[in-house]
Amino acid sequence: MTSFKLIMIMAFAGLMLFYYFLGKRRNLRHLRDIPAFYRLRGTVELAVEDGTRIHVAVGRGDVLSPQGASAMVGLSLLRQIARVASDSDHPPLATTGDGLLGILAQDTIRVCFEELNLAPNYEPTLGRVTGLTPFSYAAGTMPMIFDDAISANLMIGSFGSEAALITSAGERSQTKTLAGTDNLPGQAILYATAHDPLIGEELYAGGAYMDAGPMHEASLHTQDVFRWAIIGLVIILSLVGLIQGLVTP
Amino acid sequence: MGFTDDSDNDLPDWLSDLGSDQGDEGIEYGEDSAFDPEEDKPEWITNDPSSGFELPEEDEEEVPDWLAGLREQHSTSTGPKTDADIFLSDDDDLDDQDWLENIRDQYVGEEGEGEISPEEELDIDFLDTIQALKAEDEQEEPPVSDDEPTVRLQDYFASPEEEMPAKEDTPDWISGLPSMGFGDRDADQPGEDEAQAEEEADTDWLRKIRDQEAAERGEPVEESPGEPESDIPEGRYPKEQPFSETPEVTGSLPAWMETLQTSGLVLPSEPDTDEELAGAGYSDEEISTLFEQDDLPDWLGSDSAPDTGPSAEPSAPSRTPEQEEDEKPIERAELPSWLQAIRPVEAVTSVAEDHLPDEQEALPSGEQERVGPLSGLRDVLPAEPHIIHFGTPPRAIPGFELTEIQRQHADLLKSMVGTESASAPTKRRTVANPQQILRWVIAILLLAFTFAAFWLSNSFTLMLPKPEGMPPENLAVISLVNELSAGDQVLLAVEYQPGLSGELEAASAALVQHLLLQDARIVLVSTQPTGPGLGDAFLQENFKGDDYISSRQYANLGYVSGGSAGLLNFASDIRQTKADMAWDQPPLSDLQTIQDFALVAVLTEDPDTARSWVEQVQPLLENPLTGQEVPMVMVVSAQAEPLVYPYYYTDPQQVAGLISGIGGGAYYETVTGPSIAQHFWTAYNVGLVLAMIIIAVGSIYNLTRNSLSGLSKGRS
Amino acid sequence: MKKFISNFRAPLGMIFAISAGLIMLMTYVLPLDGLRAIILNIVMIGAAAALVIGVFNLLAVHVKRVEEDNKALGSLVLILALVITFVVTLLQEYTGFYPDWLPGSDWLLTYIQVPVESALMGVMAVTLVYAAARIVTQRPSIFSMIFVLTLLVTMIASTQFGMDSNLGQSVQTFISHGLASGGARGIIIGVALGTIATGLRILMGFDRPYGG
Repeated sequence: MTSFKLIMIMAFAGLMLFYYFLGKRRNLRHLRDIPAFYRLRGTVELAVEDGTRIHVAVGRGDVLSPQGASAMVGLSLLRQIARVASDSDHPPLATTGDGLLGILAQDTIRVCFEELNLAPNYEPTLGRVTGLTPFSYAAGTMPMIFDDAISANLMIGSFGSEAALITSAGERSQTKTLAGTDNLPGQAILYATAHDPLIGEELYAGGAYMDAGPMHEASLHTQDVFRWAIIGLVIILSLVGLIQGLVTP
Repeated sequence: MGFTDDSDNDLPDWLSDLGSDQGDEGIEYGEDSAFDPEEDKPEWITNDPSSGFELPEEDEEEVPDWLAGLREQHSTSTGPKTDADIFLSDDDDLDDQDWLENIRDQYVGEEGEGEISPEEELDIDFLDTIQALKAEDEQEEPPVSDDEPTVRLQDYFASPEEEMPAKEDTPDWISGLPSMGFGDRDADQPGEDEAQAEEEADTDWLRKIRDQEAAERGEPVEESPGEPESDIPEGRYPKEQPFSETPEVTGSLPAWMETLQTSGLVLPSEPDTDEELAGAGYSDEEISTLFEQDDLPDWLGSDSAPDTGPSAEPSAPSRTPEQEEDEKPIERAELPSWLQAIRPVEAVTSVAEDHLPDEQEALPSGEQERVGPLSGLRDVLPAEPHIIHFGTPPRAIPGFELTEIQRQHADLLKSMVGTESASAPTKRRTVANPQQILRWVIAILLLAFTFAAFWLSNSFTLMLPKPEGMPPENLAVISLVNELSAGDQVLLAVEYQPGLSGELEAASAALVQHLLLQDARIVLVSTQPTGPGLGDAFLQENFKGDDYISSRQYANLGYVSGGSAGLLNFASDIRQTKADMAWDQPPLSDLQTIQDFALVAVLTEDPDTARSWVEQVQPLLENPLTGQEVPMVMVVSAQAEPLVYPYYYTDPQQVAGLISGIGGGAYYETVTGPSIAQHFWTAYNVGLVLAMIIIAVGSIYNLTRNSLSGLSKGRS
Repeated sequence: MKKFISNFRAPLGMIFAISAGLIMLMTYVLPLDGLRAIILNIVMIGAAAALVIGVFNLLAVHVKRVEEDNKALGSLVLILALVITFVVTLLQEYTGFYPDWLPGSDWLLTYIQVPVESALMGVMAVTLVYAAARIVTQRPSIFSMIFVLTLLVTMIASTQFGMDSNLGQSVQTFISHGLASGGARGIIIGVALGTIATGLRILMGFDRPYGG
């Protein structure tokens, strides 16, 4: 079983690299439309031009758990946004519900400031831990949406049902909210409350749609290959089980 | 404003759109689609009269040498012409001559026959002046100016009578510029036959192109423009100065100028089709790159001027940079992108369709404008999007240091503009009042009805659900607890948040009560910072009647940090959570590994946490020596049930039993006796029904309003 | 020296991150339990330290707010609550002279934190009811209609009436254990693939969320 896991991981990594190099030779940008990301780009541009702030909520996903992957996607998007918005009047603000994520968010923003030769303007409070439990995190984030001239909320990370409180604050302050989470109850709640919800694995496509690099697109193609393989496997095994059930008395 | 690591993004959209064929399929030129320079050659260079392309007059100054050579050939076939004639197509040549002569006749008629017009006088004076200057040149050896306007002026002011000036009328230094196509063609030519052969060689490639295209179109191969020239008597028109690598000393100019003329102002031989490029050792990809650079506008491509390649011209050490600039040949007869962009749409479309049909189909249609007055239109220049490019910004310049004076100046400038760049103070956002009012109404309704249900609980109480309807996963939990013996250790993982403690405590109260009835020993643990405190409070608040609880005989292992990784570490070695001394005393003295527990119960509202327990802990619950497995049961919030249920439903089971929500707790309490779930049951049902009514009424109202507004819009 | 460190910080960070990730991955697929235990111990300590850092970050943000704005009453309350809870818990857990008659950390949790968070849960319930009622207006589509209908049916099945009736139980089982579970499995598979891809991008050094 362990060797099977290793083979699967190696195959996944190999396919990602294959698509990466293929994408560098030929344009493989055949991504389906996710309107939320197009609107996000427009929102970021408007916020920069408008001189308002973008709030990036990275969530409370524990970096040491599988939920950390969604937080990493949130950090990738934070980096992309900080690169274009850090030299504006109100640089982006990141909130997290986990200590480790708070450090990573601060580090991400700091690097973007350094890349833009704006290191003296960097403030550690641009990356904030607003609470260490889900509801305290939401409670700590809500006032910022009202106070800090935020014009857009980007919630990319691991959120549970407490996400409703943040989206509610965004709606009440009439700011746009794009949200995606790996948590299934959270997804159901965001579907009902967010302006632009990301369903399922759309969350992980954020980097590809925000030009975070060709590897993001390569990983999307790899996911598609494995998804279809799993679908085929499920169908075949289900049919085999059904036939066995019918044949066996 | 923005930065990008993607070269495509560096180009403006309109340019990248134009270049999409080059950018996206650029590699295919070199690899797949076998780039065909003949196809990429614009129609006007193939002398296709159907193209209708005309070089704008303003571009005359930018006409390269090879094009001037073409013009020269043209002039040899139809006689010398003014510059205006050059812009006319072949078919119109005779008409144009008539037209010009009509104008001239009309002009002469107006001015009086035999009289020399002021302009002609000016022309003659001008030429005389040039002659005089030339004579001075011969004496004083003045520097040669490459952009000498005389050549152009001579063409420009040439009248039909003066078009073929006598050999002696033409300055020698002009006659030394044969390859430019200007000046006297009857200049002393030592190798006239070679010159003609050279000229024919130059026209061969064009003729081949035209013939090939005609053959492709199924038309008869037309006569090349060179063929009628053969009918023209030799010697009537000047012959082109043949190019020779060895400068030929004519004696009319100083030696250095002779060298300059013959070596610098040469007509570079045009790379003739693919053979020459292939012969030059270019790969397909390199060829593609060369042409892509040609496609760029000058202002974009100036930094990376195309390499003329080995076939461009021989080395000319005596040439000046200006000469090189003037004589830089255009490698490919291909339109630059900016010129393609302003070509007629039909021409672009036809070329695109003819050459790259697949690529054209693959190109996505332009993004549709969604806002503003252009909403609904495609391919419009965006007003706001793409202002910012996402990507990697440039790196900081290393070693960039300011001197003290520069720093002072910079500080001064900074202080001056500081007030300008100061950002406006942030404003507190307004709250949408109608929404807020509606929320308050819903909140008041829910609170009022729920409190009313509590208040009326003595007179109105709902019965718990019938035990006959108890789901099998609940029954499984009850069975497992019934199998416990007195003194068995049970690990109780308190993994819920304080906000959901109401639901989880109601759901799990019956289970804990059942455990206490079985005299099981309880050990608390949590991966949430608040978990140990919540577990302690839950037991103390609800079961303080039990001596075991009130005397705190149970163990609390506390908070396990590290999320899933910490959970795995805990399952691998439970003794790391406490000091060694604690494990030597009751109630933990019987525990060595996690397999020593009789039951593991996880109380959580988060499906991810439940999954972590299943993935990280459950595999370690099987005793490798005996093969016996410690059962794991879960008490979850109703929202997590659909996600946890498959772990129970699967075979072999990863979760041995499941209780979900207040409903599950209520079922359990039908067995163990009323507890917290019973207390909340009435209010829970009332709140549920009220929320259902609000959602249903609100949805119907909104749906109706939408339909009515849609109807009214349709009518209007 | 500072410049030297600055130049090598990013590559060193990347090397450490990739190495640690690869070693951890290997401990999962190869029989390296001893090594895994050592790494996990380090990780647990690091995570606990990060929790403390998070608390200090929270404190720093609100201290700054109080400094900048004298009217930041909420921040002031938060700072006071944090300090009081910290001192009380420290004294109660690790010293023997905390008086019993004073409210301790249990009291703070039971009578302050749990009610506050439960109240937020109540606000969330109101928000969800409001959002569900408006979803057909906000996002008019067939999926929104299905969402609302499923929600209503599930709620009916969760009431006393639904639980006591065979029809209610059948509907509840069909929706919860059939449709919802199946859909959730599908989404979880997608999420798992996304998680693997994200992890491998970091392991291969294409994503560097650690600021390298």
